[in-house]
Amino acid sequence: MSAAAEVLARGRRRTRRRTRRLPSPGLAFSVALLGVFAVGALAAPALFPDGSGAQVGAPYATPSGAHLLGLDDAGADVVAELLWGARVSLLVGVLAGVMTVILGGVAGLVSGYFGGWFEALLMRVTDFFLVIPVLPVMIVVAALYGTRLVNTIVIIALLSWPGTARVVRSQAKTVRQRLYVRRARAMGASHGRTLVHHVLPQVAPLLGASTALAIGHAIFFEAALRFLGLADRNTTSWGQMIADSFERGAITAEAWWVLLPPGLAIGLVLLSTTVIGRRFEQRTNPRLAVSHLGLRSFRRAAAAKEAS
Amino acid sequence: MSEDAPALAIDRLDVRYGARKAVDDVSVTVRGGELVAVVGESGCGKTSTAMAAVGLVRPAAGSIRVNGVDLVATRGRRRRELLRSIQLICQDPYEALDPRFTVEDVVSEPLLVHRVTTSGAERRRLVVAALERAGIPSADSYLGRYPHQLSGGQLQRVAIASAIVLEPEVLIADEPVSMLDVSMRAGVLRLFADLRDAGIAIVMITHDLITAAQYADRVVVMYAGRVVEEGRPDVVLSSPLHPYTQALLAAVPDPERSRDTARPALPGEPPDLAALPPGCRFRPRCAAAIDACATIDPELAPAGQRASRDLHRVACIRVEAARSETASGRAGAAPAEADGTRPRLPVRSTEGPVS
Amino acid sequence: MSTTTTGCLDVRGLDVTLRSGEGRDLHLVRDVTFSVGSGERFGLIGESGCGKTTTLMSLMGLLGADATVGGEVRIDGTEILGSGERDVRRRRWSEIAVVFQGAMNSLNPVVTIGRQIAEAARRGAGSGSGVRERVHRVLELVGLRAEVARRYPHELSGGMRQRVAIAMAVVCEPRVLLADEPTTALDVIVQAQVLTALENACAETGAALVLVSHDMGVIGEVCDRAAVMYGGEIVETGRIETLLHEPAHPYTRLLVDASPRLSDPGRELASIPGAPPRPGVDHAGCGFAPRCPDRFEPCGSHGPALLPVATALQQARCHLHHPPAEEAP
Repeated sequence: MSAAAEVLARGRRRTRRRTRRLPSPGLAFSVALLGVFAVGALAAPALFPDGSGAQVGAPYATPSGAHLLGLDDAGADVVAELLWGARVSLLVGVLAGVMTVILGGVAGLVSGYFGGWFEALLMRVTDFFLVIPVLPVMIVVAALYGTRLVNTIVIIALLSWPGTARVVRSQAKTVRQRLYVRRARAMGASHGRTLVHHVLPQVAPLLGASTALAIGHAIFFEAALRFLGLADRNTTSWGQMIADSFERGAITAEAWWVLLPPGLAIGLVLLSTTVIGRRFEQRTNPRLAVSHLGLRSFRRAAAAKEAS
Repeated sequence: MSEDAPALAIDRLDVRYGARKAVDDVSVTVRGGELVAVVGESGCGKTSTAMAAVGLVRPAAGSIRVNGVDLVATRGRRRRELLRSIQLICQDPYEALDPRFTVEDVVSEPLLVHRVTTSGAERRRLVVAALERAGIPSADSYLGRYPHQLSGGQLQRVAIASAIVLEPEVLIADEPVSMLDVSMRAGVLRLFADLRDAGIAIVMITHDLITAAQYADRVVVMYAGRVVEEGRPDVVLSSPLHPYTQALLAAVPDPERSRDTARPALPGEPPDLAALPPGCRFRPRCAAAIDACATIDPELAPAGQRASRDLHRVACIRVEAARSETASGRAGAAPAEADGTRPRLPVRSTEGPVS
Repeated sequence: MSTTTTGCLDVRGLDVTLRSGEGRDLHLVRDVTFSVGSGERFGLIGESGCGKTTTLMSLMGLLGADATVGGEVRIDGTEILGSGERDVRRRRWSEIAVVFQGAMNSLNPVVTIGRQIAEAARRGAGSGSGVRERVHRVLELVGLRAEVARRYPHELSGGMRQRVAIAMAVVCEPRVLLADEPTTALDVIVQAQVLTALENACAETGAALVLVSHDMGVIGEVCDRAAVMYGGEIVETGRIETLLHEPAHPYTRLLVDASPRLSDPGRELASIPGAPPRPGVDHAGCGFAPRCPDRFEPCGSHGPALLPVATALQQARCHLHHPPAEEAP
């Protein structure tokens, strides 16, 4: 490596370390926002012990000091609805997101590392999922198997994992070619050990990114299913609130405070998970961290590109 | 496992990548305490031979015997045991070590893989001993460092330590110094010589014929997947018989060369390994080729009548022809004398670099 | 030709400072002075991190905004440092061209060799006529058949692609050709082909060649004069024969002894204890002192200057030859 390239590379390492200590404003905001929603969701029973849907005043009462976001069609506090709804939305998001990443991560890791027929099969399966429209399939499945919460989670995970599998697979394929992975094999290390000690740590940031993105998407899909009336109506979620406000005339009543908060909540959570996911991805993807002088990193990026 | 079997015996090895014959009928034997240098340009099959020897590439044919046991035919636990006694050292130490592993992680990994000891203290003792043997002084202070904190020479020594921590019988080193700074090379090469003296069989892959000659007990020259010449380094360097070996030697940069003489250059490119020419595969570039070279694929055969004197072997029919002529008493115009004097093949420059 | 004080390329007191991520300045190149005449072949030798590549990059104006470049760089008497971006770009290819180590991997894979060289030719000179002939002529110059112009990079071997890169660099007949480790990843036979191409290209166009390498053998075979760099400084400069046979600086001597030589293959190679300094780190006294076998009293505290040794042609930066107090060895 030339002197200049080395110095720049080291400078980059240092910069990266620094960003780890002081996250960017966007990242800090995203993490804080998700934290606020999570704390709110956990605190909902304490703050509003009557549960969701408890009538506290006249339908569509405007926002006031007592009820910051006003009341909905049933006279329930929108803040209470929002926090109780966050419990379901975030639960579905986290569970479906984690399930997506576990399914996709295992499939991607195994197929990328071993290659062969399993990889060929996985690629055909993911091709299949990529060409079929996800939402109509969700509608059909929900119609066939019912609208219980657990069904919603499983449906979202089953339809989302192939995307994750594809990304993880290409990363695992790149890492497999690294010299130190081959050296470990030559040393006599088993596949399991090589996967866990050398491949997984390199793929982990990508799994983190996938998890963040999958959670965001799961929340969005859940809302979509709710809006279409294909979910459990006995529980409140943000999607349910939007669906209700449409069905029960919030728009004709010009009760923007009923419609806007859940929509904004979904949008902000999706934005936050995307920002966090991208940040994770930047750490893994060498192409996003290429310096014009870092010939070595440029070569690595080119090699990674070739392998993927 | 017989007692007098060589530490590593590669026999009639074939490695194919699709239609490309990367290694074609290569045999190399290395005994304990012997350092064999495999020399040739990139694509000549030297690295593929090494990868097959450590089990990373499946050969299409042939055997790789470690202490008499064939690695190719062995499976499961026995194969892992066999891999323990043959270790690889890679060309680029920057890429060969996991950037997330500390020096201690790197060197203790083989011990964990082969479950050598369950005691952490014992493991650390072995790691420190291996690092010190690899020439890292006060190894204790290096244990917690990461690869990016070390120089190229130190990194390569760490890689060597992790290769010798299992006390292997065979080391395969793939261009171990070509990525290092000039001032670091001699030290690392000296280390290999010391390990050889300690009884380890070493295969060193290199494209540097001069360095190879200095540290090796035997030199194997490869071209387009074949061994073309093999012998003691002093013999190969002073009287190379194969035109390719001669071209290799002539191409070594030589500051003493007069500025007025043209640099001797071998024309052309190595052949396409998927479509090898008939006969000798060096013929298209060989200035000394005769008609028969286009039809006869030369075998590696002892050079010189007194074949017992050393194991100088060469795959060139012109050398064979010369030998049979002198052997049958006909004092013909031998193109290449087989008795150790310099050959006069037109591919070399008139001003030979060999003293 | 090398005795003229002003050459085709004149570098005086070149200084490169790089602002690193934390705002700390890295002094990568200090006070580098050399001059190369038209048709002359000059070598820069040194290990990784010694500043030789940074020196080349600064000559090409490729260092970017983080770097501060001081000193003077003249081509045929015209100062080129500090000129505007557009001026620098105009000068590239037509007056000063470079062949990088990985140049063979930087060809466009979907464009034929001929069109890529033609593009370089137009970029430099701008004249549209006779481009085809020029392409064929430079290909011939680097030992490739004209037929290669119709091929794509992936159809050529690494050595052939590297020769194409040389052809591209000299198609505009630059006054100065810089080559940064042009043969480092190549085998000896291919290396010989590439070096021959480089020499022919320079001889034909009359360009001044600056060859950067860590390989004493390559520099020794190609160059007339050379400078040895260590820790961002030139520690010795002189004619090749002098550097090889009568090195004045201990580092030059060790570097020569660490390089294998065909004429003496049995010789034990030297190794220099310790590691090269981290680039850009300031030091008191001589930068090589920590690794030097001949260091004495003043080396740790006083930095030596680059001063003539035997003749004006050979200069060394070492207290052994010019002790700060009057006491020559």
